[in-house]
Amino acid sequence: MQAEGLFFDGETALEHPVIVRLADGGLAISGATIAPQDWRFDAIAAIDPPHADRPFRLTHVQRPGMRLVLTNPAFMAALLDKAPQLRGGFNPRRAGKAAMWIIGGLAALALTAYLVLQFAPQKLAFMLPDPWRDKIGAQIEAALTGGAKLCENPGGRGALSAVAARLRDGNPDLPPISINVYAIPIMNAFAMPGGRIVITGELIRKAEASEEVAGVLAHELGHVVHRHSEAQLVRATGLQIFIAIATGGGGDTISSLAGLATILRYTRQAEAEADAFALEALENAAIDPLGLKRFFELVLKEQGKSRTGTFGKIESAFATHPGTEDRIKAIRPLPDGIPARPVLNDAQWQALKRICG
Amino acid sequence: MNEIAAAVPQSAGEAIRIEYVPRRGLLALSLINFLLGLLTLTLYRFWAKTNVRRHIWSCVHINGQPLEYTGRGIELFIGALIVFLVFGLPAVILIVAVSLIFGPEHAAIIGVQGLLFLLVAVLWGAAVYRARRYQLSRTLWRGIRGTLAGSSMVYSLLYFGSLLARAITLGWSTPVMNLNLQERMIGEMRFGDRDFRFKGRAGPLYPAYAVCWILTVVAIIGVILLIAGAAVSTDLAQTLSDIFSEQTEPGVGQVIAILVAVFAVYLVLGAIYPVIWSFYSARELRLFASYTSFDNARFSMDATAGNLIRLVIGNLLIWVFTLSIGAPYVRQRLVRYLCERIKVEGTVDVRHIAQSQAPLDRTGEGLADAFDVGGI
Repeated sequence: MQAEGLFFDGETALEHPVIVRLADGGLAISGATIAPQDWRFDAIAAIDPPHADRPFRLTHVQRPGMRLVLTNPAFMAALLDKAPQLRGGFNPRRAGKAAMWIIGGLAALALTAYLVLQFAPQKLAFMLPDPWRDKIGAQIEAALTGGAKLCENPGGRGALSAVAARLRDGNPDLPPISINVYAIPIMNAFAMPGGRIVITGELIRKAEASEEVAGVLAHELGHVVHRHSEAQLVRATGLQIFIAIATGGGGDTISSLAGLATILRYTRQAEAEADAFALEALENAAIDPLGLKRFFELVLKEQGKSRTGTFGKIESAFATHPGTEDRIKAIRPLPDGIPARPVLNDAQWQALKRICG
Repeated sequence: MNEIAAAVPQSAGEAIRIEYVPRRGLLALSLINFLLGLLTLTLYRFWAKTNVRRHIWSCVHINGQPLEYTGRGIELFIGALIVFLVFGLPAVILIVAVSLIFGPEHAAIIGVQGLLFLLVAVLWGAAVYRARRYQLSRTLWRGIRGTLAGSSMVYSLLYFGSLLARAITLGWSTPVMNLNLQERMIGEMRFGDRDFRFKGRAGPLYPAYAVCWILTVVAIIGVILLIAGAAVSTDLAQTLSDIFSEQTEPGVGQVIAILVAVFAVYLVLGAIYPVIWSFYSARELRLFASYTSFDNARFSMDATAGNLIRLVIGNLLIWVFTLSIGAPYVRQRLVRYLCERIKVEGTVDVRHIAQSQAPLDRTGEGLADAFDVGGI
């Protein structure tokens, strides 16, 4: 069986009319303008899968520059019987290779996700130089508190320092911290990179005893000690770099502090670590942990009150955090034999309550 | 071999006819590309682009023989990866580090961003050139591939210089600069071992340029007046400032109205500019085509403002209303437009075109992907 075809040798652009013959082992190609070619069936490859109303374009696997173009449908059908690989369609070897790529890709993705989200943040959080931590902390504090008024009543600030100093009794290894109170109308406290802690005026206003403030402070100190906010920051940056790799975009990194809520929203594990730290620190300082418990109960009561605006969103991120009830249950009183000592005296407590004027 | 050479018909050359012969399967390709793009966080784009090119190239028939695209997705992927490692990643790390050290509003960040912007501007031309070179080297006709024989860095400097010249002359050097860039690009283009030639002057472009430049200034002033008028006559400004300062919670209706308005402004701005400049672009396409020759063939192009506007606006609408799923159709319309409008007069002596001996780039288009340079 034979048919007419066109042949391109890959050396010049000249079109060679040829006669193609279906021989026993392959295709015999001959023409007036070319040296005769023998293409074994298993060495022929299709440029595109065969299609009834399109010329069939073929090449030779060892001479990939050559092209043979066939148009005779009967000849194409006969050739497909001899060289079934030209049909395209399902090919177990290619499918296996594709499956390997997909599995490998998923494994690489899982490993990258682990490195970016778990491993690197925990390691890098403790490697960030202190001046950097302080710079970032200052930025985040400024972004978080927006235009809110800093409460600077000297008596109140003195009382706040006294709470912090009281926590250092029995906890000599606490890292350096700076505490600021802002007149923000929601009840909350935040730990930021560089040991910065922000407490809202509303929290001070709603607190009924200095033990509650001390408990909250101890909890935030837990975040500071474990560098949770630094880890979140590294995590958010890593995620952005990862997305930049995938999409090919530059990304504008952490310059937009819109990711603030993400950075300050800790995982349940981080909250548990901070709680555990707080309980131990309160015990060491002989401060009644039931203050922290009362604060959590207050938070629980505030739940469900939906608010709007930036503060509201930050608050709901905190308040709707799952497991508040479990955390309340985990708080136990001081062990027998350790008598609780007061955090502030009456005058100091009254001064603290008036910190926002 | 002598017998073979003697048997070659001794005709002087072939006339060249370009056709676009559509094939089925582009819709399926569009949907698959979109879905896999979503599943792979856009990483599939390299293979998507490759598949679309294979399809579209094979629809372009020159004298009855289709073009063949031989590029592979992995080549584009590795090209992008290399550029990301040597350019993207250091840039991201630099910006992060600087904003950590100095704080977000420090002048150092603006300085670094300015430097990066400058670097992109300097390398933009190289991205365009190298992408074109890759595509030509992966395009076969009758088994012969194309190439760009020049240096991408020289082209890049020329491109950067043209940007500066345009800025300094408020755009008025554009025709000369475009001519220079086109002269270099086409002059360095090869099919096999044969070069394309480009020769001509920019002078005839100036009347069209002047008209479009003045219309643009008028349009910009008009849009500003319109927006200002709308803001004064309605309480739009007040509503917006209330919403942004969170004094009022925007209603669903208001949100939809604002989105529709933003969408409309985007569409109108995206449409006005191409409509005005299509007059100039059509003139430029016609003139540049007539300046181009290959062997004994001269080119001409039937580009008019009208058919260019239909192409550009149609593509914009397809892009927007299919949420970019229809991107392959946008590319097809572009290639089809070129195929149907470009005419070749004269002949090409195909016998004497030998295969290109230029080395093949192993990877492709990394910079073009990073900068999101347009193209097919």
